[in-house]
Amino acid sequence: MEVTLQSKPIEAPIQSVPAEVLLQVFGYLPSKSDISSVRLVCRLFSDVARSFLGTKATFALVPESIARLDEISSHPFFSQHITTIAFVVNVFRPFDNHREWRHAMSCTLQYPYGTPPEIDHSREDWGQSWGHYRKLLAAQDAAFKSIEPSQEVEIACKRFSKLQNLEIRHYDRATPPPHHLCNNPAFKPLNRRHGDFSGCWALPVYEPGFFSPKLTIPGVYMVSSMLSATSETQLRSLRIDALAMDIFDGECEVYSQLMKIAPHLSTLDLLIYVKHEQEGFQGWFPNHSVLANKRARRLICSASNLEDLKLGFFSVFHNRGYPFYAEAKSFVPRGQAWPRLRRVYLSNVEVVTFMFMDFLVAHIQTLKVLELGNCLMIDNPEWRQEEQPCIWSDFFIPMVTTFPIEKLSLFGRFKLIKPPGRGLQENPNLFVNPPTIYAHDVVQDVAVQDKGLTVGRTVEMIVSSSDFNSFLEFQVGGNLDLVLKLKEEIIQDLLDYYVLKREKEDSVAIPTRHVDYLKSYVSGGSY
Amino acid sequence: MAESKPAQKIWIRSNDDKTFEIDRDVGERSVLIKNLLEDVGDADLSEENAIPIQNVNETVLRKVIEWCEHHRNDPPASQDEESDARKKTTEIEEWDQKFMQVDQEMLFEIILAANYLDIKALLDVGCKTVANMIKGKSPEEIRKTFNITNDFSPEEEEQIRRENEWAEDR
Repeated sequence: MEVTLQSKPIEAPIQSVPAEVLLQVFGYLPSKSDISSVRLVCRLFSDVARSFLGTKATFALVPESIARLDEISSHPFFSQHITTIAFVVNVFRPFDNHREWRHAMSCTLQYPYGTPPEIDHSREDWGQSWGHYRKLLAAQDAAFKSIEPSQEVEIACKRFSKLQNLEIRHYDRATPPPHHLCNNPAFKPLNRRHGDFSGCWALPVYEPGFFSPKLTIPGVYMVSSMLSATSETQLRSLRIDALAMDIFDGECEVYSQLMKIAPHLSTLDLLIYVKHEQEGFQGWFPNHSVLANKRARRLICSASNLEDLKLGFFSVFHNRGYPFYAEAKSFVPRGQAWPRLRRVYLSNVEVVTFMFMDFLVAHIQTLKVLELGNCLMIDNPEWRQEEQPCIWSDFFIPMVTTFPIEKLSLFGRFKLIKPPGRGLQENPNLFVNPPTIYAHDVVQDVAVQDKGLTVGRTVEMIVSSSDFNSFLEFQVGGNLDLVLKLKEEIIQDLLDYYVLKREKEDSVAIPTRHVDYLKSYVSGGSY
Repeated sequence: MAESKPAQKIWIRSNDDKTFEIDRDVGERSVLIKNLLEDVGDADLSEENAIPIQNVNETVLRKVIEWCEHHRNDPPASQDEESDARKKTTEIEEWDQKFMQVDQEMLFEIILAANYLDIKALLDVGCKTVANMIKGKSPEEIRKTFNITNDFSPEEEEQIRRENEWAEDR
C-alpha cells in the first residue's frame, strides 16, 4: 500500500480543483484549528486557506512580541490582511515597599467576585509571595529596559494598509491573553499569579504618579505611536480596556490624537479607570465631579459618526464591594445626538430615568441594542406622580414598549433610588444602602404585570444576568453542565407559562417546577 | 403553470460524444445551459444540434443529470444563500449524502462539472462533502485522505506553523 502511494503520480484529484472551489470548501470548516491543519497539508492549501485566518494581530511590551509584529507587518500577505492591532498593556504595578504591597494584597483578598487569587492568607506566604513579586517585577523592568519599542511599533503599524481597528487590551484570568503571549517567557511573568490581582493593578496607559517613567512611558508612547502610524480618517473602531482617567487631564498627547480620530470612528469602547488617589474622591467614593470629566465628554461627543458606543467605569473599589456610578448625563448629555447610533452599552453608570428617556427619544430612529450593567437608576418624581414603591418594570417596560429596541440586555446588580429621587451627594444615606434589584425581580415584575415585554426579552435578561448564574451555580454545587440544563428548563417553563397565561388570563404566579430555586434565590438575596 | 404543457426537451452532449435527452427545466438547473438556451431559438433545439458540454464526460454527466432531475423542483437559490453559506453549516440532506457516496475521483469530477455548468446547489453539496472529510483531521490525516504529497520543506512547515498564530479572530 505504501509503495503504491509513493509511486503514484503527484496530482491528487483534489489538487485539480480550481482555487475558488477550494476556497468554498475551506469556508465550510467550522473551527480555526481546521484551518490551521489545512494550511499545513501542502503549499496549495496553505495559500488558499490563508484568507480564512483571523484579521487581528496582538502584541505586548516584550521584545519578542514586538519583533513578531515587525515580522507580520513585513509579510506581503499579512500586511494587507490584518485590520486590527491589539496592544496588550498588562504590566505590574510596581509597589516599592512591602507595606503598600500588602495593603493592595489585602484588598485583593476581599475580592468578592469570581475566582479568588491563588494566595495563602497566612503571613508567611505573604512574605514568600513578596519575594516572588519582586522577582517578577525585576523581570518586567529588565524587559522594558531592553526595548526601544515605540518607533518600531509605529513603523510596523504603518505597513498594515488595511488597519481600521485599534485595541488597547488588558487581560486577566477571565479573558486570558492570546496563546503566543502566554507562552512568551518575557510575558509570562507579567501575566502569572499577580496577573489576576485586579485590585493591585495600576492603570498601565498613563499614570505618572505610580509608575516610574520607564514603566509609564512605553505604555503611553505605544498608544501614541499606534495612533500616529494611522491617518486620521483610517480608524473605524477604538477599544481601550482600562483607560486611566488621567489621560484626560493635563497636556497628554494621546488625548489630542484621540480627538483627531474621534469624528471618524464608528465604534468607541472605553473602560475608564478611576484611581482612589484621584482628586475629588470623598472617602471611599469618587464624587460626580471627578467622573464628569469634560475632556472625556468632549471626546465622546466629537465622535459624531458613532454607531456603537460602549462606556464603562472601574476602580479598585469595585472589587471591595463599593461600586460607584458615573452620571450618564456627563457623557451622553441631553441635547446631544449621534445620528447613526445603533448600540449603546453602559456599565456602572447612574441613569436618571426621564433624562435617559430623552436620550432614547433622540435616537429612536437608529437605536436597536441597549445593554445596561450594574447601573444605578434614579427615578424622577416629575415623571411618575404616584407615591408607590418604584419597581424595575416601571422603567424598563416603557423603554421596550415605547421604543423599537430589538435587544435589551441587563446584567449584574442594579440599584434603584426611589422617589423623591436625589443624587448621591445630597442624600448619602440613601446611597449607602439603596435597594438592590436582581434580574429575577424583572422576571417577576414582568410575569405579574405583563405589560408587553415578550418572554424572549425576559429570558434574555435572565440568561445574561451573572447573578442568576452564580445563584444557580451555588444551588447545584458548581456543576456547570447542570446550570446550563437548569437554565434551559427554566426558560422552557417561562415559555410554557407564557402560553398558559395567554389562555387563562387570571393566572399570575410563575408556575415553574423550579419555583423553589427562584424563591430561595430571592430569600438568599438578602445580602 | 409550466406543468400544463408537456415538458420541452433539450439535448446535451458529453465530451465523449454521448447525447442525453433531458427536460428543459432539468437542464436549466445549470446556469450555463440556461444562458445558452436563452441565446438559441427553440427551432434550433434538436438531437443533432445537441449542446456540447466540453469539460464533462458521459459517466459524470449522467450523474449530474441524475442530481438535477431529483432537484428539478427545488426553489431557486435566494439572494441570502451567500450569508447562509457563511454560517458554516455542513449539513447535507440525506438523498444528497447518498448521491455523494462515490469514489474520490468521481466526487471531484462532479464538483468540477458543477463548477463548469454553474450548478450552485450541487457545488455546495460537493464542497460540504469535502469539508466534512477534512473536519477534525490532522494535516497528516488530510494528506492520507486525499492522497496529497507533502511539498513543504521543514523550514516552510515551521513558517506556516508560526503564521497560523499570527492572526487571531476578532
